[in-house]
Amino acid sequence: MKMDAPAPGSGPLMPSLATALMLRVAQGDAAAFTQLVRLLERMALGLAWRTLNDRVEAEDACQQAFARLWTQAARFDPARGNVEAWFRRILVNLCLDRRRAIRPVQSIDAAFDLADTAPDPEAQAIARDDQARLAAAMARLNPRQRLALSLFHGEGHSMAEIAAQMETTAKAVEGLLGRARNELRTMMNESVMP
Amino acid sequence: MTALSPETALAILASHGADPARWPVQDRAALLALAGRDATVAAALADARAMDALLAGWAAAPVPPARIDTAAITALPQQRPVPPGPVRAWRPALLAASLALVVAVGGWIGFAGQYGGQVATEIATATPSSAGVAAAEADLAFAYVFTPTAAEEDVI
Repeated sequence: MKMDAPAPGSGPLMPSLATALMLRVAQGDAAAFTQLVRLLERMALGLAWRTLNDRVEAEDACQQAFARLWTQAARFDPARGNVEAWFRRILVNLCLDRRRAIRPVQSIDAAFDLADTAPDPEAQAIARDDQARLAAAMARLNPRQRLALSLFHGEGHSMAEIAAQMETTAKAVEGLLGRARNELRTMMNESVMP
Repeated sequence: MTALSPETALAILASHGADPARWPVQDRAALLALAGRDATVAAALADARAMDALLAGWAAAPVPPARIDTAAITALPQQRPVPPGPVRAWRPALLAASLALVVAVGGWIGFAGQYGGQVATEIATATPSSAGVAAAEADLAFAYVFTPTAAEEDVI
């Protein structure tokens, strides 16, 4: 089964079904929990992976977040918001609590070399080179910046929605995104200099 | 259409990117108009468009299936909310009685202080006769515990 990251601008995942499942989960229904995990895991892993930039860390954060969803299911109140938003908030907090620095998966130079050796046509090689340099630069951003970029460009959330998820203000999110994009641009430009 | 300075336009492009649908509604028309006549803003818009394309690719990159161990999770006990106990009828009365007692005692102390001030208060300067004995016993106990024996002296 191929799992793709959610498309930018995609909305919440079937909130009514998720809420119905969550109410059963609160009664200790393990089958409903498994169904709920299948509904949310795609979004969860995509968000955690983009934020933490590390596959193992992302899976660990997701496992912890789902465990919290199960153990604290009785605290869910549908009147106070949908399951997806509640779960995303748990996941975001867990991701941001992982303060230890995660090493870049590859250096910018290594990414540049990797793209150079690709046997694709020129346009594809340039695109691959850009993506590789972006990935290397992304690894050097901090998790909060990656989270904001992921929520804005990946989930299509507004500044206000991101602010609510990150427990900050919309103005602070704007600053976070602006600095993140600026740093990415600077790092990517540095990596092409001779 | 509200007027927009180039600095504000650049700040919006820097944080929101190049898609007018993501810009603040009140600034959209002004920003597009400014990009048409200001070369710096136009260049920033082009830059932002390129960065948006890269970030869209990053955000849409395939994610392999998650390996969530649901069996391990559902084996965990669920936390049950503690139901609030019945409000006992005598609790408010007890609270009121306690409050009344505090007020009464406080008032009585204040009254005694105002009219019974003739009683001299004096800081005691004499040491209780037992104090010296207690100190000596404490010294002995300390010495007993912390003075090394002959064997311990050899080891040291």
